Amino acid sequence: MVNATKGLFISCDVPMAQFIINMNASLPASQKFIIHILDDTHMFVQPHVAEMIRSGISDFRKQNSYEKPT
Amino acid sequence: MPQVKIIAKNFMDMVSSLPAMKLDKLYENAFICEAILRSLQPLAKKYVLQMLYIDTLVAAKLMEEWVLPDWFSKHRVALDRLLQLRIFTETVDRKKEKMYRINSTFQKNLQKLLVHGEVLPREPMPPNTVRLPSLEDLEAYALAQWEFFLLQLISSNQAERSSSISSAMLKVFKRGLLSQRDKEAPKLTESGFQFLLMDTNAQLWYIIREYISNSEERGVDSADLISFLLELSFHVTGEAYNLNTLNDVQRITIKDLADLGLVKLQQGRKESWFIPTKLVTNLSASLTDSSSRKQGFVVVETNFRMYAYSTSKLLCEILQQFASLEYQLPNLIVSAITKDSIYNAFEKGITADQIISFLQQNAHPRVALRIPSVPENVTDQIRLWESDRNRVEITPAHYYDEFPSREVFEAACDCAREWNGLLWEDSKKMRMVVKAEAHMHVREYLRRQK
Amino acid sequence: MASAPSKLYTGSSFFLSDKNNTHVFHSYSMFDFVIADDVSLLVVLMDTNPFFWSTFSLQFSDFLSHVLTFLNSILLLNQLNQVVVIATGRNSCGYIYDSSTTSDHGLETGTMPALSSNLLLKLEEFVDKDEQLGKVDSEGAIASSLLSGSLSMALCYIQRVFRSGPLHPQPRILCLHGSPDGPEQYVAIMNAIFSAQRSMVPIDSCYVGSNNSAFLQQASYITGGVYYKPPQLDGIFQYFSTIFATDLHSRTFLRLPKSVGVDFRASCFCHKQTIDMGYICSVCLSIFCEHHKKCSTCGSVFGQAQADVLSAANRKRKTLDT
Repeated sequence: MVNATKGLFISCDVPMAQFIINMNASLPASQKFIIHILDDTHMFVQPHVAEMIRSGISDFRKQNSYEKPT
Repeated sequence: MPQVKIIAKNFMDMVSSLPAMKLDKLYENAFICEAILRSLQPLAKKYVLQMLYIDTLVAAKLMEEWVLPDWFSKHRVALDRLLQLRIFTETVDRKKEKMYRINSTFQKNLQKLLVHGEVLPREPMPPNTVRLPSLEDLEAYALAQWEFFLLQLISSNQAERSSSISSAMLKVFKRGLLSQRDKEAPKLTESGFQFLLMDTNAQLWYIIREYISNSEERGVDSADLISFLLELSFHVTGEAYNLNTLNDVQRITIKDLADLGLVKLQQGRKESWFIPTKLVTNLSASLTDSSSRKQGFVVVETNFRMYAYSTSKLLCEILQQFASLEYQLPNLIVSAITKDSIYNAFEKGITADQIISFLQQNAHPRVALRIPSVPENVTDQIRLWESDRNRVEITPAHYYDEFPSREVFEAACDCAREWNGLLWEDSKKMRMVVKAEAHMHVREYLRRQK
Repeated sequence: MASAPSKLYTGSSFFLSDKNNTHVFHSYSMFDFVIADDVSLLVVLMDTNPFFWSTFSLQFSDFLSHVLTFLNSILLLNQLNQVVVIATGRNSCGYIYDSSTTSDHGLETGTMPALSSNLLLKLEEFVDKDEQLGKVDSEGAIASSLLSGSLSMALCYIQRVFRSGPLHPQPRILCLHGSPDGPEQYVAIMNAIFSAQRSMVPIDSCYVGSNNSAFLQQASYITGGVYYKPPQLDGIFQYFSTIFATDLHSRTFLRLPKSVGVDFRASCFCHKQTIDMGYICSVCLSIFCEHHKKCSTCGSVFGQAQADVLSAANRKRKTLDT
């Protein structure tokens, strides 16, 4: 019987995929959101985590910006 | 971010959407015929010229031979445009062949224009009765009025002097450009930002369009308004025309136009007159999408500094949308393009392309001749920042696995592909991901299979 | 026919990004920022040779009214279009009309000027002056007009327009000609044609005379213009508006008369007569009808003519034989 799971399909580049996997690994087991890792640029996650992923990425991006020391 | 673009809708679209009777009435004015002719694409213009002195019907098949076979689509586009504007009328003759003929009113007016030249409906006033401002003063006045009007549009607390434009009119213009939530200051919408970054002629046409669409509500016939506006555009910049040559409706319109900076009103001892500025005489030139020949003032350097040689407050506002202001000198605005400022702009809905084309179109003449006018590292960086926000694509979807057999798997994949919903598949392990929109169809299909 | 570079070049870079890499490509594409596609500058060279017009079936005044309507229609099509009229006389050429100067304009804006009165006045003055300059010496054959002079004047004007900045209309030349070709002008006309070809200015010709004009056929062929001899003269405005009013941008789409068989005959440089076969200098390609010792253009010394060499060999053989 074919099994269908509802969720979010994530398509990104390799570094971002690793970042998301890392973010997943740092969460306690009850909050882990990755259902399947499809390949090194795609994955399937639970439906409610879109905002969390986006905000995680933008924090990561802000950390990478150079702030001129005053 | 949703890509919303203000369609500075071509004035011609508005004209062509007028009912047939109004269009025919419009064509009785020779200036409108000329303005509309000038707004057509080059091929359509050519066709009108060729048909101008032909009184009989011309077969569509014959016209198709005028154009080379590869460009037939252009021919069709031009013909459709002409039919839409009712410049060409189509009939079907007894042999079921399509025939075309040029609109006779249009034809007569154009023929008159060609042979006799133009005659304006009003004469300029004799030069010794009026004190005319110099052309430079006039242009400065027009620009100041226009900028003031735009500033008012954007933020109501920037006005220095109280405006004479009625608040009802302002509301009309602000609609679509500003959004106001209760207790908050009105904010510019995305379309509002895009409007700011457009060039003057496009902005002008947007405002005029709103004005004309609003005219019906005020009881003014839009066809009359359109014909008066186009007539105005053929007057001479800098010459004075007596107000008593206008009827009442036209007088009200002139007053509104004066607030926008299109004409300047002056009063003498006994008479009052209006002087058209460059803004209105450029109206007919910019009926198509070609942009204006404004002089640029922005120099962008490779260290992401921007120098804008201008004093206008409006420009200051516009630059603040995507750059962080550093200093403002009497004739110079110095700002810098930073990651934060650009990100701010992206949050507001401005796209990288809009920012870059604004910078390119307003490039200072010193740098405009350089290739490229805006340094590549700046444009590249802006685009990279934009794409950086879109690194991850998240789509609601469904994950399918545990297919009983390869055939069912392949069939399900094909079904998903038909509905344009197949996002990912793995044939070795027989699993696939389908978009949420297509999920229902695939599920139905699988159910039917059993 | 590609038109002269009148568009601004700006750089644009586009991105090719797939999920793994982002490549940045810089491509320079033509961006037509400020001039619409069909803005044209039309330079009309009008033949005013009285010897031709007095014997021609169509009256010059009728012809002129068609031309004036045609010029008006060009100015009508686009606000930024410009028209310049140069008269080709028998002994001189002169500027008759320039739509961009304010004195010829009734009004300052791009509306159609009352061009008739100004243009006709200048034309009359020109024809009078031209007559005074000439000596009535030819009888029988219709003398030719000074086409080379007016072509050169047109090209100089166009060069000035090119140098006026990055925004300028696309120029083209239209010759309204009826007089026969003057072989003495061959060199000058060919030079003008090649210069037009290099600046990418097409030369259209509307020839109304009796036989075809070899010069104008060559001019249109080399520069990519249209050569047309209207079969009917009373409806000549229709030919103007159908063929010659086409701006350069639209020429890629429309079907225009193609030249069938161009008369490529040259004239010799020494006598200015049309020849079919002759001698060519191998250095500068000047054409001569008879053998010269030295090339008059580049000064290179020629060897003996082939015929002389052969006859010399024959004479030697004859002497040997006898």
